[in-house]
Amino acid sequence: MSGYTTAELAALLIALVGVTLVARNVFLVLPRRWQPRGAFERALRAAPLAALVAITLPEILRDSVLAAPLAPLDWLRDPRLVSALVLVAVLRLTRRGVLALVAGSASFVMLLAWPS
Amino acid sequence: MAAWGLATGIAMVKVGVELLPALWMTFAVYSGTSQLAVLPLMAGGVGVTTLVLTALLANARFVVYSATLAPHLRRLPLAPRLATGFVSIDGPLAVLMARQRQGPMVQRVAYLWGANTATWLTWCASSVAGIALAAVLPYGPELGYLGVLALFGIALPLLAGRPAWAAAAASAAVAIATTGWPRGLGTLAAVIAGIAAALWAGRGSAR
Repeated sequence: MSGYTTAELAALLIALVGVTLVARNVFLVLPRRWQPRGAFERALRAAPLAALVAITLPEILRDSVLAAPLAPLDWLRDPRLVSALVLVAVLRLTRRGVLALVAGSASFVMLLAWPS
Repeated sequence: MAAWGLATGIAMVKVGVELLPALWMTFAVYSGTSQLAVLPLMAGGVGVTTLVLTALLANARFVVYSATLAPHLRRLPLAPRLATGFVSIDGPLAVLMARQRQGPMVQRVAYLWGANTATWLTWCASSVAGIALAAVLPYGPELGYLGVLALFGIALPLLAGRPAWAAAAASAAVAIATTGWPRGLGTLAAVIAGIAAALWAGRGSAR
C-alpha cells in the first residue's frame, strides 16, 4: 500500500505495538515513589470518565451543536444527538445499560434511514 | 466494542492494508484509536516516523490510565502487570473504577481481567469479521458511532459524586474547545483538565 517497503511496514507494525505497550505501562513499571498517591491518586479515578466524555461528546455533538450552533430546532433531527438522548433517558428510567444501548442504537439506525 | 472493531476492520481493508498486517494490527496493536489515526495517513504514504508519532499522540491518554491502574496492580509480578496494562482500555478501566469500593483488591483485579478478556475477544472477533466482510459491507463513520454510543453508555453510570461531575464538566468543556486539535491531543488535554477538576472538587475529602 502507498509504496511502503516490506522493511518499513514491518518497522511500523512493531513500533505500533511498542507504542501501545509503552503508553499503557509507563506508570506500571516506575518505582513506587514515582507513582501517584493521596489526593492525586483519588483524582486519577476520574481519568476514565474524563477520557470517555472527551472521546464521546464531540462525536455526539459533531453534526448538531458543533456544526450549527444557531439552529437548535435542527438538532432534534440529528441521529447522533437524539440517539444519545434516548440512551440517557432509557438508562435513567430503567438503570439497565444494555437496554439503554439497544434503544439508543435502534433510534440512531432508524433516524439514519429516515428520509430527510 | 463490536461496532468499533467491525468499523476498524473494514477501514483497514478499505485503505489497502493487506491481510497479515491487518491481522497483526487487530491482535497485537490492539488500539482502535491509533489504528484509525494512522490509517488515513498510511493511505497517503506518510513517513513511518510521522505515523509512529501520530500513534503516540493518539495513545497519550493511556499514560494517564497507567497511573490510574498502578495502585491496583502494584502487588502483581512484572509480567502479569505488563500484560494487564497492555489490555486495559477505556471500557474495562471504567468498569474497575465503578467497582472501586466493592470487594478486596484481588477481586477487583480479577474483575478487570474478566472485562479485559471479554473486550479483547470481542474486539478481535469483530475486527476479523470487518476484515473478512469489507468487500460487501459499506464503511461509514455511522458504523463507528455505535461504538461511541456504547462508550457513552459506560461513562454515564460513573457520574457519581462531586469529583466525577467536576471531571466530566471540565473534560466536556475542554474536549469541545479543542475539537480542531490533532487527534489525541485534545483528548489528552480534556483528561488532564478532568483530573485537575476532580482534584479541586475532592479537596478535603479523606477518601
